[in-house]
Amino acid sequence: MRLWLITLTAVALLGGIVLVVLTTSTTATLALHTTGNCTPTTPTSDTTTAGLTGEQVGNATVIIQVGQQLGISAYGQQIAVATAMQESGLRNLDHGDRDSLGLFQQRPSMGWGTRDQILNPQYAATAFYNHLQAVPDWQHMPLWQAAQAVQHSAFPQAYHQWAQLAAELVQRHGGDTTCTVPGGPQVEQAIAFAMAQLGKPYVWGATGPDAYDCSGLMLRAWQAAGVTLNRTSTDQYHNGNPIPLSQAARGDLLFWSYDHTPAGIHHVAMYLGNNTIIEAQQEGVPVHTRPITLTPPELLPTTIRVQAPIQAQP
Amino acid sequence: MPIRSDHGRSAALRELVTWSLHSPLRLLATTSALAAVGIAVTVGINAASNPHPTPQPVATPATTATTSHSAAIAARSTQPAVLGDPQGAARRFAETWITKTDPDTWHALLGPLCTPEYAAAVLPATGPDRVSATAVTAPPALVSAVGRTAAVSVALDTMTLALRLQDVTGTGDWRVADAQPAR
Repeated sequence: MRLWLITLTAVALLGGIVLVVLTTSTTATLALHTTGNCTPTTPTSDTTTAGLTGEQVGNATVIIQVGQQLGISAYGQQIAVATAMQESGLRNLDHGDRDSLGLFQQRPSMGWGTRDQILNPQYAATAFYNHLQAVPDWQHMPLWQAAQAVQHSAFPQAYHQWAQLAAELVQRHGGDTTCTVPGGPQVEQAIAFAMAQLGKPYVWGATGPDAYDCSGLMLRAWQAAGVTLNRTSTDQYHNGNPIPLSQAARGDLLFWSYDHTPAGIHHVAMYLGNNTIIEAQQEGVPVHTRPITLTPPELLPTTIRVQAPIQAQP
Repeated sequence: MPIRSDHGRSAALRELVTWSLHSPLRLLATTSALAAVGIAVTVGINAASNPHPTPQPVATPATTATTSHSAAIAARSTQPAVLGDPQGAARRFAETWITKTDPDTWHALLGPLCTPEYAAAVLPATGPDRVSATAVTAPPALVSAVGRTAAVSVALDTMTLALRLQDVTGTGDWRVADAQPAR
């Protein structure tokens, strides 16, 4: 009788421990596979959907639904939502720069329609998609270039800061938009592309295929894996999750800053592991790999582990 | 009832299991030891598999903004936190930006006022015909300035420019690294 009691107590104790261990490892495993989510787990900017109002989400929904009705790809819907977020903050404005109006700040004087038409969100979204479809090869352009081809803005790069927010909204409405899993299979594809560019010259503003600047090399390397990054090194800091330098992994983006802050970023390179990077460093220096020491102050104390939208294929 | 022998595997097992029940102290010790092992394993697994470590404070924009803001206040009240004149650089950029000229001249004039990356990567995608503003309507306002970065807003007749500048040499050579419409 006493032996039964003893055995029961022992089994209960051991079982408890096993349960705790199992629960913990399951939680850890689940946390590792945040597949396809388009917002970095630790966003480095305030451009997430968390702060959107009902009005903004409602207008995004209209834009996405019009896109779906017109048979526009998820990428096209993403471009439209990001554009409206930049132009109007996803609000149906009855005013704007010069005679600009509505969600996309379209201008009656430039043939976009009458005032009443443009202030109708369905009309405005349709007009945007029609113009987008008239842009040759828009499906293969980076988001900001496709948006700029339609909008002709004075701030062409500004659209890209909303790429991840737009991807998340499109995803929410069933759109076929996915994002990289940090450390996912895209890492080796991006590295393979970058390595194939070794020896090509550095040219400011160049994004390949014959020459690169620092962010241009990152842009094309990740694009080869289907992932769209922002255009400039400062903006690429927002394309993923910050990770302490001591935990840097292959494919992470490393940043150099004038003053140890993200605002002072002036250079970006890709980490290859084993204290080695690949980069387009400066004029006169071809794309190369080189050993580095992973310690500030030369570097920002965090790498960026890319978590960005995978550009849906048309 | 099974026959209990003082020898053999079952006896050894029984000895092991009943050891903790010989006194309350032993029971407490055994329970504590098992709990300690459980906690250690849990903590170990968590540490090994945490995929998203907390970022270092210096890298979070909120912290940077706060630092920049307090530095800007310090700059106004006591002495400059940065070298040179970021507001002057912002004013030169804004005045050139609103110039109605041909695109080539516009790019050539603006280029030297920007960081090489902004001049090379962003400027070519736009031009003077995209700019509606024709006048700077107020002195540039310093939003923040710390280290080698500054944010300045410039009010124009049709909008307000939000400029981010970098001191590219560390000697007060301020260049525009980003331009956005103020929100």
